[in-house]
Amino acid sequence: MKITKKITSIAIGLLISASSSIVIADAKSDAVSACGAAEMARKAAAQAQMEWTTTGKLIKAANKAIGKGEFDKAISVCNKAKTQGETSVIQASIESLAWESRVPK
Amino acid sequence: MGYIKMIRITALTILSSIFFAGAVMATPEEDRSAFSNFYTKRFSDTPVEDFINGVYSIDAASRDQWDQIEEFPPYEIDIDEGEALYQTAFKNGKTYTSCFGDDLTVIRGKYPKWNAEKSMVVTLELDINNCRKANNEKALKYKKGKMAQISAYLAMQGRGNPIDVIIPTNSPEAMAAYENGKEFFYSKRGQLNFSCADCHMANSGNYVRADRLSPALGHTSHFPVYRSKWGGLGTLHRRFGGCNKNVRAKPFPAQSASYRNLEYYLSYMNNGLELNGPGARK
Repeated sequence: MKITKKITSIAIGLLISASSSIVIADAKSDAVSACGAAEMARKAAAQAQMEWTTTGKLIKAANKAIGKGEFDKAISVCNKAKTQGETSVIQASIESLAWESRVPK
Repeated sequence: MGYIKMIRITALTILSSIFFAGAVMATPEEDRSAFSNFYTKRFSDTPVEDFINGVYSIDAASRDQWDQIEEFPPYEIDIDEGEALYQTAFKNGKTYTSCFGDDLTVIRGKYPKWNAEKSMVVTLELDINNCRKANNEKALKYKKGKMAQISAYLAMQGRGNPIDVIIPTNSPEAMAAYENGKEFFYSKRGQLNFSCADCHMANSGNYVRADRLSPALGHTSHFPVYRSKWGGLGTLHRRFGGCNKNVRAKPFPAQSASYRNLEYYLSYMNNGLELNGPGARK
């Protein structure tokens, strides 16, 4: 009985440790994925020749956070960077038509 | 990425219905006239020829200080160093004269210009490096240092000559470069969503913190410029990059097509005004 209890507690301990690793791996994967999407949005903005100075800096900061294991922070920052990249692309589209109305006649 | 494309298409569809008016494109000369008239109306006390002095043409208080600075200009040493660089032969024995000709006074006034063979706008700084490369010399960096000094020396030699940028209107490529530069000037960019025109046209003369925004008319006449903020000399493209960073737009590399085309447009807008580089600015 004693041995069974010992084995059970070891098994439970191992199970918890394995679950934690899976959770951490998922969180890291989510952060990496979020930053991948942000980088794609930044590249789209660069291609539209409208990239902001702030977008790349956010992605850099988020990657540092991933390195420190701060995955929630990284996801939040990369989501912000992704929004900036997308907004830059919209800005480029708007300006491609709007600029002409500002030329003095 | 598909999501971004969908947003772009929607935005373009809505906007094209608002902005498309089938208007005829103005010629560069019509643009220049309207550009000049904007500033002469906005600053009716400033003679048009004085706009080459930038913010000092519209601000009497800082004009006095600037006049005093110009008695012993901070760029004088750079001109001397530029002269020495220009006159020093390349390793192959040739000099810059082999590229630019003997008459120093006309060099600055030829730029920026359309190069039909390469189908691009060529600036003075670009041709300085083209000359170096043609003579197996290492290219200089474009924003400051030796490049700015050589440019300052040539600017000084050409001082007083009228700006006379030529846009071959029978060349669709040259016109496209001009229009690209024009679009850049009026397009909002960066996180702060400002265009060059927002500051230097619509808000010219207004204050940003303690500084007055200079009118864009005359902007290119006095480059390269000794800027107190830089503590040294810098080229026009260095300034373009700085301005873009100010509105949190990622700057383009100096001598990129975007900045060369912007220089082409802005320089044409100054046609008829005098070259007065190098200059000193806050």
